[in-house]
Amino acid sequence: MSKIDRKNSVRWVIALMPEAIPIIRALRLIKISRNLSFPIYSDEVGEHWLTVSGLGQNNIAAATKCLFETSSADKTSIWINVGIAGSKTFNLGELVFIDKVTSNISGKSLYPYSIPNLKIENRSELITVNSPEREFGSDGVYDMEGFSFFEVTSKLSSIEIILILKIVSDGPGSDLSKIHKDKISTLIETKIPTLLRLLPTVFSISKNLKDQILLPKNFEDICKVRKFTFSQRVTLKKLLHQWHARKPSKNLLKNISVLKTSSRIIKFMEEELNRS
Amino acid sequence: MIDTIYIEKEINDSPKTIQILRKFKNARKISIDRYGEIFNRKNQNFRVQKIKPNLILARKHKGFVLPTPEGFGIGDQKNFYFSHMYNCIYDCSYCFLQGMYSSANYLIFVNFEDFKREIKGVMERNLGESITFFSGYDCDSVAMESVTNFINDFIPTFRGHDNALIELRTKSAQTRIFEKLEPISNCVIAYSLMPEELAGKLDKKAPSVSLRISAMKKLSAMGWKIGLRFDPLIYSDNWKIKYQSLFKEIYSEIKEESIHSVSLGSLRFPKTYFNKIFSYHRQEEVFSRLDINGGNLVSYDKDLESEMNTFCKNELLKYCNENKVFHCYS
Repeated sequence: MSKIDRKNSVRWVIALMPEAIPIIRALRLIKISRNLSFPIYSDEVGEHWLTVSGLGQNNIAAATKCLFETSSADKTSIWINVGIAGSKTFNLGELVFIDKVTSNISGKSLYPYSIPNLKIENRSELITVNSPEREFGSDGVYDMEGFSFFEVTSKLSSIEIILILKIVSDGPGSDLSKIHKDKISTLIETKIPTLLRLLPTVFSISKNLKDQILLPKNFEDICKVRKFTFSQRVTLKKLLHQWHARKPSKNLLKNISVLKTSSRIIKFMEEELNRS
Repeated sequence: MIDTIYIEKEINDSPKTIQILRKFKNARKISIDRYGEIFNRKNQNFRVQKIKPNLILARKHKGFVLPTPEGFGIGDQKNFYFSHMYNCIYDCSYCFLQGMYSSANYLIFVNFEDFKREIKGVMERNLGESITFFSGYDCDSVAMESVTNFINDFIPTFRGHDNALIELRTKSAQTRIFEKLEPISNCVIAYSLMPEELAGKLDKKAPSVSLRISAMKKLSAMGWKIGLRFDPLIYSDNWKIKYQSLFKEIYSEIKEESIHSVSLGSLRFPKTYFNKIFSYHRQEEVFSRLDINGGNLVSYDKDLESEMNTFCKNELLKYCNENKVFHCYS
């Protein structure tokens, strides 16, 4: 069983630095000083991590893998891609939750989980293209990274905690050269309170996932004071689950503190459980 | 309420799809190629999705009617099952679907006509033999009726085919659909039951056992045949008293002649299913007495299992004939 961290764990993957700056500021992230392929930022407690990938699918795939390894993310880590996108359907500045993402190149679609109670009105398909979109043939929103981001992260984490959120920056007839970096930062900045309000909902899903794989209560405490073989550890885990479900006596740690060997602890627990 | 409906492109215009979508006008509809893109994908979590499942509408291509596993039956010579739907609106802690599927989304196969054609084919190929068709193996047969119209669609297929029995397995207390239909003698509405105290803890989101008994009473009075399904039997403190009291309550409310069959089964899981289910419900006492018994099966200790089956069967025989009692071990 891989080590699962009990604290909240969010990984932000952002294409452009002007998109990232408002998030870095809001979460008080600091650039980590290691020599890495992509700039990576983290907060003091290691809850929030962020990388800036650069434009395009290859870059975001590589940056995501780099962040996964550098930040020791696990399968309960939340992954969020936030960025600007084009659309003919939504208004400038609107935040859109993506529940389908299609690669314009392969035609393949992937389906981010529709997180309940997220309270984002706008939901849409995202079409990921390889060059800036000018025609907007579909009603969905357009970006250059989303498909690859979801394709990679869905192999690293549970799909229920992977989010793609787009903020509409342009539409048909927009002159892309006039979308200044300050305007991009402003678009993201405006949505920071909304983005932060989403987090507790996603944290609760992540906690649910952690609860499913964390070691049973007292397991680590007991293994610290007595030496258990591999097979004894397997038995101990099973007995602890049974113990906490049935609670044959209240204070397990106190009861076993007088037992000098791992075998005696296991024997005591088995006898107590048989009596219950 | 359903927030999101995934719809396979090829059944977008099917009458059943249109009928179902009419009930969810505000849901977001997402077009998909095949249901497996959502339902069978890796790295998704049944437990998280169970908080608020979405709906998937799809077409089943093959395997409409399948033989039941060995040991599954209520007396007929041949036994088959079919599943127009996967997953269930209830959230029973011991439900094996949690171990079988990676998604908790409701999946409805809208091509009912193909199921019915295959059922008729099985009936024709087995003329002169008694057959039971089980529905409700992978879902609750009645609970989603307001969405699927399944019973209304399927009951006429069985009318007049007296050698073929259909079992509708359920925990639903809804009786409205059966009130609208003329009862047929070859349909068994089979209720999953356990002592109320246990159901209160384990059968989350399902109607109480007393409501299920009220529904059985109402339907039996209308002429529908009732099945009693004590599968799984659940161990707890004073389990003998609890089961005695449950059997007494049922038979005091429902006439024995209305009861088509009674079946008993132990709490048991294939090991891989159990491991998944256990990770979702680590604190449930119900799982704390199970262990690997006989290779791939997780169940109670064999002696306890045998004691529970024997005790419950003997208690039931105080109220009904032995030829109505079946033991399910698949």
